[in-house]
Amino acid sequence: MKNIPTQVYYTGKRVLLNPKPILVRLLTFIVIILILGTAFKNQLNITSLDKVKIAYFNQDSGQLGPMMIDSLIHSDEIKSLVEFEQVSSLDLGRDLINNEKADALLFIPEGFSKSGGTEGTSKTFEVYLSKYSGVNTTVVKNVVDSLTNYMNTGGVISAMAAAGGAVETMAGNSKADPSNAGTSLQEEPLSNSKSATAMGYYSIAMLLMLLLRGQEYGASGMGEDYLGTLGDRIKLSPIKPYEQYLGKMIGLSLVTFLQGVIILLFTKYVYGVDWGNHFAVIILIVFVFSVLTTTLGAMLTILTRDAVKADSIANIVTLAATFIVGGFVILDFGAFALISPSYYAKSAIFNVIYNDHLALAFVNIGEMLAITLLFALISIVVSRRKRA
Amino acid sequence: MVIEVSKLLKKYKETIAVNEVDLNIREGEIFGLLGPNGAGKSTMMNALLGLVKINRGTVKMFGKDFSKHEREIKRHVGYVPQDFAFFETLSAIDNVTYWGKIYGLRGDELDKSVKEALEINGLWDRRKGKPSTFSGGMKRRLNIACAIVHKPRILFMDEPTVGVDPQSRNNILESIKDMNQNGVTVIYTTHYMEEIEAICERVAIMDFGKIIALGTIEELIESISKENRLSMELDADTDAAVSVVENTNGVVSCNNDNGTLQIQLKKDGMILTSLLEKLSLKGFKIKSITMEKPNLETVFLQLTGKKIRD
Repeated sequence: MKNIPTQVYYTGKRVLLNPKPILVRLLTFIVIILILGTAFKNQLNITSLDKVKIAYFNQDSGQLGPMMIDSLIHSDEIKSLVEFEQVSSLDLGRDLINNEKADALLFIPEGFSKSGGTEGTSKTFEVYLSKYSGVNTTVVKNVVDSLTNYMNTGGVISAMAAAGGAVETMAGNSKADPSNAGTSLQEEPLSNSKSATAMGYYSIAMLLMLLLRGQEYGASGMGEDYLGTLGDRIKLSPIKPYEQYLGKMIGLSLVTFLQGVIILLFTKYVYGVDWGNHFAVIILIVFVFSVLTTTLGAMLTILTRDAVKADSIANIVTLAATFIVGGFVILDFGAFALISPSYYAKSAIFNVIYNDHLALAFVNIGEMLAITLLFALISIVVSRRKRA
Repeated sequence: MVIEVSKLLKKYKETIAVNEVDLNIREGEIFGLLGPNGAGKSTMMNALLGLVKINRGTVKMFGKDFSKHEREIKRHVGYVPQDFAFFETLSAIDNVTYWGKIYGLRGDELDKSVKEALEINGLWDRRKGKPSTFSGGMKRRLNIACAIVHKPRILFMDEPTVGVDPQSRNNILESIKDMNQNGVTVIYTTHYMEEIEAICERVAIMDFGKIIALGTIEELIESISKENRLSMELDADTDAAVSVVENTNGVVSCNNDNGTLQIQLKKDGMILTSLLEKLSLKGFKIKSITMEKPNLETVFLQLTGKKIRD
């Protein structure tokens, strides 16, 4: 096992001692992000999105439900973002969502006023969201989150206070200012921290593309070990094949990972891209994806027995995989996107940044590790069979 | 015997690259492996090193079956391939250190071995230089340093002097002799016959996947020296002289090689005398006559029908 650190050290050192190609690559991606982020600014930034359509169905015959709805639909700030539509039944509202004619449905049940909308009772209002399908819906979810928060806390209090209701009963001793009713939405997740800006979107897309190019390191690194004279010398050494493979893959992955981290930090501090509240998890995703792409490149060399051919295939994979997940232009390829290695990394990053859903992100990381393991197993089996 | 090869067979589909070869190499000798291109010597070397799977036969090193004790045996084997097998972006000392570590050397032992390997090859002063700044000869020497850092007992060298200047070649040959004097067994292939003659004690000549001659250089020369070879230049009508020479008792063969008669005749001083008298009587005037002393090249040519660089 002591040969693994040796391999990692010398593999990394060899690549990093030739920094020019790395710097050129990093600079290229930094410029591409700037160009795409600027060029598509108006198409992706949240300010340019169509209004979010929210249906509502108020079954509450008391005062609280109608007041809440009233305060929402008459708030100028909310009206600028959301278009409300009243429906006459829960089923009709659901149909609107299923038919993609509404992004969300608010349902205030009968007896809501009597229960005071207290959490933990069966008389809380319900929110139905359309399925997540991209940046727009992420924004929708944030809008609805804002509404939910607003209505569950300050919004309810404000609305009730505005109507001269029993504020103290709902919120203890707090004294809500009625003028806050319309402004609380602005302070909620609709702020820039959760919106997908063009710069943010293309930072993710280009980061993943850069990491996909880690295949090239895997392909050429495996070419050294598996083909040619250097490969013969390594095969003649007493190093165990798994030590050689692991050391090489880790070393090359770290080189790709390092480049990914530089892009992350640059976009965060120079372009002001928001990478969410869990930067460590984003770093973990970048590392796991670096390992995946390096292993993929190595597998291509083993399958083709030609590092140059493997490199060419890797280039195609990089472009295709980026395109399929909407890396160049935002397209939805549905289930087809699953064949792109980037899909899992992109999902993981989106789940961290826009959904704040770490559990799902870790599922994506697990998927990437499983794919990496599959690539490694294929490499080992094929390399044994192909020995002359 | 440090290497024992028995009935080694290696086929590529229907082509037999090494055909039932038996070979024993003694500990501490420098053994030359010769053969024209395609003779099977590279496949033979790869088979000995375990780089290709053999179809039949056994290879033993240090008395142990290579296939069963591969990892243990590899620790004592070094390999200098024909192409450079080091990392261009690492310095010379980093390259040699890397290979030392791969062979399990650590600490002071590693440092000492790295220094020795670089010194033997005259690279200690350039240890911090990158191979990309080295001359061809220095790269060749670095290639060797990487192969000997772990102090192998057997060193396989595949054309280690290709493309180097005479001075570097001499340095390399001297370092090989030094290593050999320290107990390293060397298996050496080259296209340069003079290198084989300079350093090898025994030689095997391969052709068509078989060893067609094996022995010391003197033994091989002796084996083909039942005949004398001479070149003769006449002042005119060389073609007419060919039939005269061919009809002389004791002459084995004669041909006209661009105006020079190449004659092969039995080892008997009287035959040459009678041949010269006969040509003189027929009116041929001899401009020059050269008796060729057989060497390894002659042996090779006679056995394979090809020159070594063909």
